[in-house]
Amino acid sequence: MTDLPGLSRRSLLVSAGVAGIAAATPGLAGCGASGDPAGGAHGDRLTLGTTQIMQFDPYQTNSALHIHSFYSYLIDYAPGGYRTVPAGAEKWTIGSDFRSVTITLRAAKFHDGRAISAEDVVAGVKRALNPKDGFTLVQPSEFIEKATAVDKRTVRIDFHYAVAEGIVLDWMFSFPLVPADHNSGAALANKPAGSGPFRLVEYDPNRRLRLARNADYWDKGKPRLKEIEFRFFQDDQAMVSALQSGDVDGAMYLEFNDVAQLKDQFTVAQGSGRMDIFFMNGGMPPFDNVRLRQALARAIDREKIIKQVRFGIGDPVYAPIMPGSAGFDKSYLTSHAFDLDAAARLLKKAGGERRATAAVSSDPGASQMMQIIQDDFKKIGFELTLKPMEATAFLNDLFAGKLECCVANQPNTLQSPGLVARGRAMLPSQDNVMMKNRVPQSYIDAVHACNTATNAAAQRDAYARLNKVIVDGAWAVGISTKKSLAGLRRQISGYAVDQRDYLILDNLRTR
Amino acid sequence: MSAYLLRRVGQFLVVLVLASIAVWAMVYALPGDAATVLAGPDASGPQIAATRARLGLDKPVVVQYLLWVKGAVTGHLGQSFYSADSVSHTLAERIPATVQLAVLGMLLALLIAIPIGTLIALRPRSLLARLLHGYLTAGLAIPSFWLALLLIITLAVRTHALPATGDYVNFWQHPVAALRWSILPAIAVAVHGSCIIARFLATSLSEVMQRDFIRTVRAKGVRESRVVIRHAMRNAALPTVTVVGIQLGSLLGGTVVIEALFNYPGLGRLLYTSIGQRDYAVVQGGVLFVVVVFLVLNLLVDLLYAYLDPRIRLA
Repeated sequence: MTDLPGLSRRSLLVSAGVAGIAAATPGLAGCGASGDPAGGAHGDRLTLGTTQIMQFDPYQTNSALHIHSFYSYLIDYAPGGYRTVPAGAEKWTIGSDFRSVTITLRAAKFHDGRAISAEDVVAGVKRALNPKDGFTLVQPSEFIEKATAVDKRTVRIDFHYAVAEGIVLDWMFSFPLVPADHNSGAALANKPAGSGPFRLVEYDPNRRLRLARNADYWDKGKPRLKEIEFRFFQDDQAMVSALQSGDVDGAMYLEFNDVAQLKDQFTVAQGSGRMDIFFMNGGMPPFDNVRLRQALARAIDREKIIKQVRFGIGDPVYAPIMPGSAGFDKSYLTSHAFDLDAAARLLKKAGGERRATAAVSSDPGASQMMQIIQDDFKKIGFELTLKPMEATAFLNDLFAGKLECCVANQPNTLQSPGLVARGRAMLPSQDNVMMKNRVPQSYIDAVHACNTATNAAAQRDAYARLNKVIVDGAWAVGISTKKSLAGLRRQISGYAVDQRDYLILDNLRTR
Repeated sequence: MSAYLLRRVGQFLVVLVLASIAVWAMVYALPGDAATVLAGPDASGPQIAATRARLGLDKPVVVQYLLWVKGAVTGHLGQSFYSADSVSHTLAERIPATVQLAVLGMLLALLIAIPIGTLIALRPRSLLARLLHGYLTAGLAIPSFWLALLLIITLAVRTHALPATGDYVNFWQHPVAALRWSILPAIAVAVHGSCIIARFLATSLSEVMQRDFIRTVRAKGVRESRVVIRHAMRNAALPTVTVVGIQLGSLLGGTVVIEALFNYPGLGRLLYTSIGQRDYAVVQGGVLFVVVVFLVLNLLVDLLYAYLDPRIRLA
């Protein structure tokens, strides 16, 4: 038997097989068979890709994109600034002595049909004041003494001391309305109980979250979409591919290097995001030397980092106060600009050991950012050894105060610079993992002054003091804002992200 | 045969217990815990401590392990820290997706490997065999994740022919949709497997075809197709069955990278996510399932060996 006839026969079979596969592929491609699990916009339905959503407790998160879909907050801020918009609260009056606020609630209903009442706010405040269960609301609520229900829709909140109006408004912006009988970490762990624009339909922690329009939503005419589905991705590239292939209509929290490949085909929207901060642990050598910290602070090249790591997206910051806040002082970006000669001179005067280990989290960009810093530090004679760490291990050691130095994010300070001391453990006045018992008293006083400054002159003075104390203390050196990025099909409009980085879905619609 | 079976089952149980201890120890050796992840990126130290206490992670590791063993013996593998769902239920949701992908991948691999392996063994010098050798070399050299990316770019992103992401749809309920959402990950896992199986089959079949008994069968005038299928294949199948068993075991254990790349909701992705989140109970339950699958498949392969080659069960 020669090869040729056999070859031809087999070739024929192989060709038939290939032809079969080729014929089947468009069949599979075209199929919109029942049982199809995923998206594509269908007029009033959208599918958005995102990283995994973990829980539904609004007290436990400062930045989970989905939370605002389920919950109404007392007030909202108009996108891009701090103009107040009534939300769960219809109106409010701050006492003339700045020691109380009286809030009138909107006549609205929770998803279970029950009317929102003043008692729900009282229960919510009680939880916010409980250090064991109040989570991210504990520190922002520390000025509150008590909440009292005046009548069914009126609640009065008394403060321990006179508080700046901005602090009260930022607190109202962060305060979610939750039914009193569901307001605990355990009850909200896996099921939301709010009054927001969408209700929960389905939650599969590894696959999807489906939301349906809340027909009883207080803001009539909203939300515009009937249904939104979030598909969960662990891998950013898988999410980008899903967007490019049309599996999803939008992709939330993209990485910066995705922008170049998406910007020509999709709308790339920017949220206010957070801040990248270089932290030095003042509780351990060599960073217990404040002059050394001040020297190194001058050797951080923000422009290079924004250009090379954040692909030109982001604004430089010096103190960890967000641009847009009244306390943001851009003059430090000039007076304390990147200057290796000045840094070298200061380092020489500071003395002490000239080596340290920097922990590098697995956050996208963290490694490149630290390499730029390492390179510049080397030029002034300071050896930085980089230690890559997995995300959870990094957070664990960071919060345990074990890291010598690192780059980490800091949430938005909203309009009150005093909020710099809330949230994460690196900047609070107490239990500060970076400074331990060395938190400068001047910092504690400046934060308090910001929170209690009730007139314009006092505010100006307090904000200036706070900036100076942070810059002089130099354990938290701002690098830049880290915008949150989303890619959306061009047909989608109405996308908005608020100052906390919560996704506002009310206005989202397709053309 | 029954003594052999009993011995293997005994080994099975010992390995299972050792594996559970090893997995527990490894997971706990990882720095960081679920409380750090669950409390969120803005949590402070006291908030993380409160979350740790709520999850029972403040108890000594040994106590946590013994509590888990106590639950496992009574059929409760614990509760996920994140979904608050039982681990058994969480696994039960993921396992069908992985089984479907594994079976589809293995069927594709066998569909590719058997003709290729046979052809290379029977016509080693033909042009087609040489071309197929090239396929085998390339298939083994190309990492599955890279092939997966190529498939995504060419068939999903550029041509929109198929979805870039995978998803689980029950094949028996919606066969076309099931194929549509799992065909790309199945191809990605099948190509590498097909090359390994085809190589083993080709080598093994080629050796068998040189044996004396094949010459004898041919001398008796038996048709060539019958010589190959009835006499050579059965003998050549032994090493191939082992490889297929191991391949199937690793596919059922979850193809972590492929599932992550295609966002396929199978066991591999669940484990990948759970390790990152330090969801100990889910990791423990998932890995135990993988261990059991491997052990059962090993057992089955051994039994199949004994069936295919009587000398093994007599030994």
